[in-house]
Amino acid sequence: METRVHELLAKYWEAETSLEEEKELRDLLQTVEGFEEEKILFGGLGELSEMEPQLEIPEEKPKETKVRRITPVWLNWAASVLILVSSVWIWQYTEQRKAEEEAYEEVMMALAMIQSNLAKGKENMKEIEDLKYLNTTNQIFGLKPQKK
Amino acid sequence: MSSFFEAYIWSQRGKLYRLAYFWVKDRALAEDLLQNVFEKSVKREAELRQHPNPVGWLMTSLKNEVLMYFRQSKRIESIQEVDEVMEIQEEDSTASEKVQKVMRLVQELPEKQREIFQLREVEGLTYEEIGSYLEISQEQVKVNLHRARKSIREKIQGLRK
Repeated sequence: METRVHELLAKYWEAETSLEEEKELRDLLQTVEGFEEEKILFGGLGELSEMEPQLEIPEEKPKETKVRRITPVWLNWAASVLILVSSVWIWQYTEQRKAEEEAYEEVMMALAMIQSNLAKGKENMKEIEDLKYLNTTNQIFGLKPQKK
Repeated sequence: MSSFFEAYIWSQRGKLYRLAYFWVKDRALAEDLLQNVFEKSVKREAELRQHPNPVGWLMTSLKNEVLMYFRQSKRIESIQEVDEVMEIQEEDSTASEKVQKVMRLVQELPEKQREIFQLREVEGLTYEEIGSYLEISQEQVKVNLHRARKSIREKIQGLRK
């Protein structure tokens, strides 16, 4: 058995052994006396070959849809432009409302002034109104009627 | 999960994990890095289906993941090869004495020899399989394996004296 180990080891170091012969060598080294360094080498390699990882199978990625995706960069740009346009539109609308209110106020003030002046004119017309109670032109001018 | 993922990617987890462990000498970190590689491979499954060497792609991707992790976490820009990672990483104190001894013997080998030695001795792959994964000829596999074993034999003989 020891001779066989020597024989296999010689072939092994020259890289001339087959996988079957290497397995035979490992098996023989477990039973034969001596060869301590070789036992450590093959023992360590054997331990390493039995190490297994604890992993999880990664989840499969979702199938891609045919919908055209908008890239985040473009989405950001679009959002910025939308906010800018909305801001301008709101500003214009507010300014227009403000101008309309000012025009209304001015018209109302003008109408109030006209009404006030009309009232003053009406007051002055009162004396003329009283003329209707005079009977004749003679009374106005203080003339005596002519006798026939 | 697709049958492609299970057949060609998930089935390689043990081999890839042990490769990563050799580089980073930390079981939890090796698992995290490999998990990242699997998540990336799910996203790029369509590309991998067309790839002539998916295992080779996974090994390269894992190596890049290790380098990226060490560049980011250690703030060392100059790390270009996994050999440098192996130099700065401390031994795994939780591993057995035998494993630690093997890691020390293998660590000093050049990268190509170390990968071939590991794929043969730990994973039990044929020359043909190793050659296809690393995209080299069977002759190159044999030459590198011979050099790796010779180097390890000399170290073992040195330990005896």
